[in-house]
Amino acid sequence: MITKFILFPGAYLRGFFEQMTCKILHLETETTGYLRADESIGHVEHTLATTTASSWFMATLPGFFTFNMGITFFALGLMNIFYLGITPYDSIPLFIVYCVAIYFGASLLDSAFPMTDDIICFWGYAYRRREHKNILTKILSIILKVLLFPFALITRIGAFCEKYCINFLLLAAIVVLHIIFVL
Amino acid sequence: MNCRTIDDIIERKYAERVICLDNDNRKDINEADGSENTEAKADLPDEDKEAQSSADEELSENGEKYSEKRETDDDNSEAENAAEENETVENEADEGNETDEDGQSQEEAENSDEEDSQAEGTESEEPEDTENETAETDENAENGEEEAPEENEQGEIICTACHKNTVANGHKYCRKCEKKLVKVKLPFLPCLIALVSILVSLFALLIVCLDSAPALQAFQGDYYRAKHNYYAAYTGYSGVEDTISQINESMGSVPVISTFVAKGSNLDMKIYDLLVKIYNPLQAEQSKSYIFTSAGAEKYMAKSKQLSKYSEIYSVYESTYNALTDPLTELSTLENPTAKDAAGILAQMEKVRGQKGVDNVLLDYFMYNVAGACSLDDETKYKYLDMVADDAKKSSENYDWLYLEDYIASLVARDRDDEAVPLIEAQMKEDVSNYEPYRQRTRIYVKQKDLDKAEDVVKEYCDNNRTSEGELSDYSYALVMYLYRCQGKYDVMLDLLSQAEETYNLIPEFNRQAALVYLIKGDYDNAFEQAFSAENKAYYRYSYYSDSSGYTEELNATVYLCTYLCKEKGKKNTDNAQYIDEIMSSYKGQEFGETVDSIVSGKVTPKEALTKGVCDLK
Repeated sequence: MITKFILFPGAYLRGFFEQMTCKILHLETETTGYLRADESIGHVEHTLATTTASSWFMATLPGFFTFNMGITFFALGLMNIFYLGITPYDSIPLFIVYCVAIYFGASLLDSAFPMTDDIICFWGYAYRRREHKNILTKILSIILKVLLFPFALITRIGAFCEKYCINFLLLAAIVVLHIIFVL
Repeated sequence: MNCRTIDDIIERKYAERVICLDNDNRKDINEADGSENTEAKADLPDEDKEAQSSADEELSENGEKYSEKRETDDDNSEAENAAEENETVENEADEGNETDEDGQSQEEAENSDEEDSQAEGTESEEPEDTENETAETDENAENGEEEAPEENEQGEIICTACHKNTVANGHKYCRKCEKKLVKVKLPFLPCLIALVSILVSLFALLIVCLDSAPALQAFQGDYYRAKHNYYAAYTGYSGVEDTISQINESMGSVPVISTFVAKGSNLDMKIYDLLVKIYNPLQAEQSKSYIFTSAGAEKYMAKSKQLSKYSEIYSVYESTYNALTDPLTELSTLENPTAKDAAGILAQMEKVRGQKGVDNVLLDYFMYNVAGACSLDDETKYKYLDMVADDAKKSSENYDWLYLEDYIASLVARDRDDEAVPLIEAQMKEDVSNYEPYRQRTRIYVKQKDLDKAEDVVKEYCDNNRTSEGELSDYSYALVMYLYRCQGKYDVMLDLLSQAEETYNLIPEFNRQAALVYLIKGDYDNAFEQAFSAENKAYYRYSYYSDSSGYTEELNATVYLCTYLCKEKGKKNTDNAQYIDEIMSSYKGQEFGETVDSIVSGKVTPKEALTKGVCDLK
């Protein structure tokens, strides 16, 4: 929770994207405050999705937005400060912009993964045994399961890492290693 | 509760709904629910009735799944809690039976619940029992679950949102609240913030795409720098500025874009640092204005401690040089300085020792260079070089860049390999792209007749210094040619020469090695032609690129010897035979070492001299 408060911009935007996704998927949103003082900070309380497709989108769509935005800002700041060597001597405003970009990007990346409930919901729908109407749907189901498995696995691992602040530590380690070895 | 499976989540989310585990009781409860639901359904619009039915179906599905799960639970844990529940149920039944319409089925439902459910923390339909409610609330709070659902007097679940209406089968909220919750609007401020963030991120994406190429080159430079391949690192860093210029030109030099696509002072400092390592601080300092071209370069140069240190070294060098103006001017006026001239000049130089602004190490090194320029014998030259080394070791400054290569060469020439090898290996580790220590190490192995280890050293250098296409670099070719010549593979070496000259046509060392091969073969005319070509290339590099690195003692010795032998023993029917006399006169009075003297005097043949020891003239 402390790391989420430190990296609050990402949590705020994540909450917004989750609420937006709930609206698209017609899921009831139970609480809408994005920056609550509990472990669901950066997420909105909502009813579980009821189909495989909607549970997949609920688990991954908000993360899609936050990850893409986060990696863009993070890369922008990292490239310019550590590789292209921009210093405050070159331009103070530009240096500040790149530092803010690193912070903003890190905050978005830290909030890129869903709550464990959402991804487990998808996992339960997608990878449980069930009867299929015909062989075609069965084959299609298997193909989709195989195709989505890597993404689902990464999302699941990421959700658990986010729960225990491992993401924050990884991002901090990346920045520190750049300071030590590149600068 | 740790939600490890969807079942756990469903349990948590739908826990307020009674799920009957006993199949016998299921029918009664469903019937009871059905009667209750009929009333509720009658109030619903048609489309909602269908939705209600589908939700009911879903609930019964979940219920079946849930009952399967329950049946596989541990009997022990159920039995443990059964006794506890019995007591609770008795208390509940006392109060609940008064108000229940269908009291009997309620009791049966409670009895079946107490057998199977309490360990999982399921909530059961119970009348208002404050103790149980408190226990449930505590349990829910501990597990992070939602508030326990309220119930009205008829035992129906009340919607937790509005606390008024009853909840339909399989739903969490009443119909009205469900519709409201789905229709919750997105707040304006977060929408605005998200939109702005997306627009800014699109711009950032454009900048990232444009910056990626120069950043990748800088990353390449960092990678090679970490691997101690300083020349490759320098090549990587140097390309960044050109790439940035090309990008800005292709984008039409838009001010916004060119502000963000630029290099900074830190990168300039990395380039400067590499020039110090590859060449020396003096050359780096002279090139400073060409290196520091970014916007904040001046401020950075003023503040950087490292740059101040190198500037100080340069200023000490300049002050020492200025103190030696007279003797050095006198030297430059002499066409062919002799040992007698050297004595006078060196005496003048000695007089400035200890003066303000004169550094002893630099002064000794200048004296060593004068001894070389005046073609003094090796012993005298090495004496001055030893003085440089001694003073450098006493000094707190690092002067390796000044004298170490020459000092190592002198140790090898004096057969002090034991002292030379540690210095060479330290240099090899420091910079894997530095040709000279690898060359010296190969020469030592050749002298020791350990050609396998010599081959390993050459292979290591070649592997560390491949071009981007995976081909050999220029000095890799030179080292390989030397190795082939030592191994006696003369034809292979000459084939390699033609291959190397296709890619690199300004390396004097290629032609010098070829000249030595022709000397071994006794073909003095071709030897002279190759030596002449080598000397021309060295001259071209000096004239057009101010690069005097091609003019080595080995080259001078080779050119002199080949010219002499062609004049004395060759047919002289080559293209450049007309220049033989001119070349001989330019080398008049110079010393070229014992090996050349012994060949010239006829004591040994070129083949004998070039196939023993370091297999070279110097």
